[in-house]
Amino acid sequence: MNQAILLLLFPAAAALITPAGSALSERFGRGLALLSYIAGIVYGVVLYPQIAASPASVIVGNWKPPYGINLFVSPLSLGLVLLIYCVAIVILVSDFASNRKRRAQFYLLYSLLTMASVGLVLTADLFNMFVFLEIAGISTFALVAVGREGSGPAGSLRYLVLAQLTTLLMLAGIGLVYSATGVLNIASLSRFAALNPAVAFLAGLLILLPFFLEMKQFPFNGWIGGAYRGASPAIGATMSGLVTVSVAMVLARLLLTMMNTGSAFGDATTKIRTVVLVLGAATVLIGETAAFREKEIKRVLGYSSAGQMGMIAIGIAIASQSAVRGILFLLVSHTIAKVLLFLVAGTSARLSGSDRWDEMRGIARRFPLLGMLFAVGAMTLMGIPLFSGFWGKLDLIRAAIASGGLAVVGVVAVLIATVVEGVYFMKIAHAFFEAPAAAKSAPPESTKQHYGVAFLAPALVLAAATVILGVLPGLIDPWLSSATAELLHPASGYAAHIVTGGLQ
Amino acid sequence: MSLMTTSMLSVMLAGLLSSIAFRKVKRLQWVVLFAAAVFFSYVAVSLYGKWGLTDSLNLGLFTASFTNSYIGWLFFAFSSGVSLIISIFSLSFNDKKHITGVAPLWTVLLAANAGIFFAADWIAFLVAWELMGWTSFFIISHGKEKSFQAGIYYFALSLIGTAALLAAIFTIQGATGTFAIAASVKALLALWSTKPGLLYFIAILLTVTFFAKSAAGPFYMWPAKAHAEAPDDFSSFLSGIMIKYGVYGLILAVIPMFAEPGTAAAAGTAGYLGAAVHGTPLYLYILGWVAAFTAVWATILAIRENDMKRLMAYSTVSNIGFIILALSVNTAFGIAAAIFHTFNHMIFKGGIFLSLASVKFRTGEREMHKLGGMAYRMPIAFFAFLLGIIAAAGIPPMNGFASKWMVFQALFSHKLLFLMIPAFFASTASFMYLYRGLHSIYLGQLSPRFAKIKPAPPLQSIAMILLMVAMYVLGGWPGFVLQPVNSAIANAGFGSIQVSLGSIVGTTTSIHLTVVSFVFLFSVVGVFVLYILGKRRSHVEAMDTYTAGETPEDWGVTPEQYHYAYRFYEPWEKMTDPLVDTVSFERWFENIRHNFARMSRSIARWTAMKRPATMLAASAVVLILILGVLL
Amino acid sequence: MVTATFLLSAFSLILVGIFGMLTRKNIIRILLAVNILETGVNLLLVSFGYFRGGKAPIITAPISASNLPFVDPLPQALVLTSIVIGLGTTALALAITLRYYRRRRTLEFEPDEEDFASVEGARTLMRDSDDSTSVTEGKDLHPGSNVPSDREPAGAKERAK
Repeated sequence: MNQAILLLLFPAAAALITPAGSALSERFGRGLALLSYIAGIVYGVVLYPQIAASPASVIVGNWKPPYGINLFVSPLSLGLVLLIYCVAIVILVSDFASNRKRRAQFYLLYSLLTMASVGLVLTADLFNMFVFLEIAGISTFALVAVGREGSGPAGSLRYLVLAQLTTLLMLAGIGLVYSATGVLNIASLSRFAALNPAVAFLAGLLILLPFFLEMKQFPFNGWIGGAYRGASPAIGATMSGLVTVSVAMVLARLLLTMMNTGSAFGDATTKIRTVVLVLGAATVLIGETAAFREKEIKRVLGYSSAGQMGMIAIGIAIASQSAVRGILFLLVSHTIAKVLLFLVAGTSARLSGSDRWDEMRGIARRFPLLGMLFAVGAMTLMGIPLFSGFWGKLDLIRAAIASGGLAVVGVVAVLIATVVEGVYFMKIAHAFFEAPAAAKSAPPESTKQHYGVAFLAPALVLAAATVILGVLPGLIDPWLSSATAELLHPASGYAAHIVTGGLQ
Repeated sequence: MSLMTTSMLSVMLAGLLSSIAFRKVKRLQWVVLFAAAVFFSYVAVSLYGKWGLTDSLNLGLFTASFTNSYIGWLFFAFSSGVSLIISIFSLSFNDKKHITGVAPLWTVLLAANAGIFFAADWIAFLVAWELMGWTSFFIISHGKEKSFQAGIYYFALSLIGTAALLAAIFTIQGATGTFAIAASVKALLALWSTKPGLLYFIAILLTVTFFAKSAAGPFYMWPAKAHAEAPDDFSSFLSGIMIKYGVYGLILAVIPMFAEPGTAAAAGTAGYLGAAVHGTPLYLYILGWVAAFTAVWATILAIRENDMKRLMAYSTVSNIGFIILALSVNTAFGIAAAIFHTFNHMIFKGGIFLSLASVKFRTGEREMHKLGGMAYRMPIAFFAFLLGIIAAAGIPPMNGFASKWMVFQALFSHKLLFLMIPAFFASTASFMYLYRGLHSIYLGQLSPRFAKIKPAPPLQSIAMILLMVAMYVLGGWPGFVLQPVNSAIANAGFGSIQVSLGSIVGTTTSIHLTVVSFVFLFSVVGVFVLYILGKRRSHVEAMDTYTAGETPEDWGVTPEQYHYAYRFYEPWEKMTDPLVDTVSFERWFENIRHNFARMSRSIARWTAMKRPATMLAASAVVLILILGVLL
Repeated sequence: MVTATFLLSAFSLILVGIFGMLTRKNIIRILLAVNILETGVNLLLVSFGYFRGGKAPIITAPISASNLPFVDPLPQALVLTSIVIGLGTTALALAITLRYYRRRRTLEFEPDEEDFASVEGARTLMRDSDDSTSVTEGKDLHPGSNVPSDREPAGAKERAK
């Protein structure tokens, strides 16, 4: 089963070979990147039935856990890896339409980012997680920095500084855990004897910090504005669509599998989950409120992502069956919708010449499809029936009301946020569809502008995906069940499959 | 899959397809709408009698179930019938000059309409409800800036309603363990002795949802905005049918929760055990006062209006107040009165709005003082409007009289005399604005601008005639509607009333409406005969009677300036200005929105400054470290 | 105890680093603070593995009682990785700073014009009035009083269009 490491190697190889190959041909970089992702998808799809039957643990370097690093390939992780690859392909393909001359380094960084995201999803070792997180961070900082002149470096630096802070503190937390338990493997920790609660609480929170940042949780979301302004739409889509898949999954893994009442973190688990719940509720409100008045469309989408991630955090913190199913569904639908929205935003910005949605009025009159695609994406995020977001939100709210207590605060936050995001998304949708008053916002008609297949094909695929999932949510039901079981019941699933050798 | 689900799914599909397939030939989309309305009417006819038929739709994650319930069928049948008439009108209304692209959305909305009335479990209800919400939003705000402001107001209130509905559904499920509507309401009834607080909480949530949709209570302001901006033919659908969804929801879930012990609805459970006023549960009594306030307030606001669609929108809100007032009495008679008035209102308000749409179609005007004398050029529209306002005012022989009579009788039955005062006020004062509409638009001086306009096109006229006939027939033979209503509410457990084809037995007396109707008919006929038989008379232009034969053009005065219509009720406006200023809920909502925008700006500004962000993150980190050490 | 000294110094370095990040405006100084923070964390890690009397974990001869005990080699491996990561991140950060400098001509963190422009009315927070997109169309809180601009008797001008 060691071949499963190919899932990581495909993009890694693409990243390493690109600089050399680009000396030969300009198009080499993007061709190779796409090729590696397609190879990854093919391999993953071929592997899936085998994994669905019995998940596998891939031991790297022949050192057994808990000292060695292993990857855990299960329906949950493999499914998310496939999602990551698909999103990467979609974003890269749509980026072709943006008319930017991408240098080889762009594809190198992108492949690195993909590899790191895949690694985050697959890994079962805490320190390995740290390394992949740093790699993902480095590639993201660089990709954001090459965005718009001026705003790119500024946004990237702020993001970088905050991310470094949290990641280093995570490292300190990992050190704490190691010194107390002697193991770094998630599966082992999930079955370890309980630590001193204070140490467990401190270490647990420290380890979760960078994931709070990546998931845009309050109070770590100050970087969103700068980073999303500076990034190009493709990178915005990556941050919101690709990276969020991996970090949300990791947060779930850590908070549900690693920290549970039978684990090294013992009773501190409830306290940590409460903290996550409160932060999540605050994030939902703050994220959606910040998006309300925002005029730059990429930032609106960034803040909206913060709100959605807040909801996912609330669901993870509630940690019941319904809640976890709900957030997995939400994660998938959010990824699809957000990438679609970024695609539309990027194309609209290009066609109208401005980054602000109030300067894009009437664009849907010239390009009705743009407006409709935006409406589809927006309605998915709002949780409106016929689109996939509805089922996730439904499960989440049901779980929250059923679990009672503090979770009700989460419900209130989510319901308020639904109203708020409904209003601002519809404002933007309406601006798109508005009949232009006189020639106020008429763009220069001299250049016959249009969007090409590079934008249209991925966008239609995404829109179709969200509608199909919205109407037939049962399609991913088996995946949801096995994923939920794996996250919530480590003793029977996760830990049982990871062969732990060596000292316990 | 029975006819219920197949019809819903196929109509939805048809709507979606027609938006793509017939993009170029928009008129065909309206044909699709018409076909959908015909189909649903056929479904209504064929489902009659098949009570309790159930159906389900497996969607993988859960199964939606539908049922042909008594009251649900009633609402479905009526809404399908009225939609059919409106769609006939729309076929003609949407010619090249006036066409809008909303037909596909409206088609999907018809399917959602069916879904709401057939839903047997809360999730299916929610899905249909939300579907109805966003399709109607897109229809109302069809592309223009002003429409958008109105639309977003409606949408925001709708979202609030949906949020409350979501909370209510899951609370219900938590308390009763089921999502099935009928079963969960029954189960809730059993909880009055143990968890009254929870039940009041659920009732409040549901009330918020349904009041928001029906524009009752503090939500009274959205119809005026929405109706004014929505496409004209859609206004009749909005006012006639869509506003009633809240009423249906109240009948479905809130009223049964307060079933009295001993009634059929409370069979098997203890029933409502709380406080009551004259036999009406306290909560419903309070609801009645809110409804009465709505009726009065909307009437006051309607009298101040100059735009005819806004005026009629407020009239709708006032009627909704009436309906909910009748519901709140919580007797069989009250519920029958409410349902009867709902259907009557669908018909006469539909007629009124269609007539207004016809006038707008021909003249392009919407403000009343710019019209006048339309009766001479558009007689059918005039008659439709006339009969409509007679019905709206509750004057025999039209259908409005019968249902309003029943509403008052219902209030008598529980001796709710104080509630009668605002009800009477709203009912009689309504004539102020109803007649104003008639006079300003149809009577008075015909402007030379419109001297040559054509009457309403044939299809539009047919639609209006159908509604007029319905108004008259239901006024004289209420049993056509009341008898099915009676059996429906009896079967639903609310009790029954005594009604026959032409008469109703009320609380204080009974009334034989056929007789009343014939009396009026013969009086009119009698007068008309006298007119024909009377002395010869010559036709005199209206202007001549005004100006005593002089030629006003000599003085630079045109006929239009003789049309007394502008700011008809200015004294009333002045009188009620301070009142409206104080009580305006609109200001309240606007304040909320304003403060919210301020908050959003502060947050965004906070995140725009680099230092506070880092500082906050770092202080959060330090805080966590300290917490970790302490705990 | 030696380990306590290490832990304390590591903790102080971490705090110094955080303090530096909080209070400095100059990017280079902030990056320096990040590096100090990093060093502190690395020190923390290594000291978790250390104990008095431990030997360097290099096997030169078959293991016997005299060779043991080693200090824990795992944290040292972790720290090696971490140092390299820190190197890479610092290099990247400096490169981005260079780009930032080229554009902004300053090494200080400053909010720029765009930050405020994109948020409607952010600067005019105190005087929040000009909501052109007010929901109640032009503060129409008197429903029904649609006053036409000219108020002649019987609205003569209005009608004789």
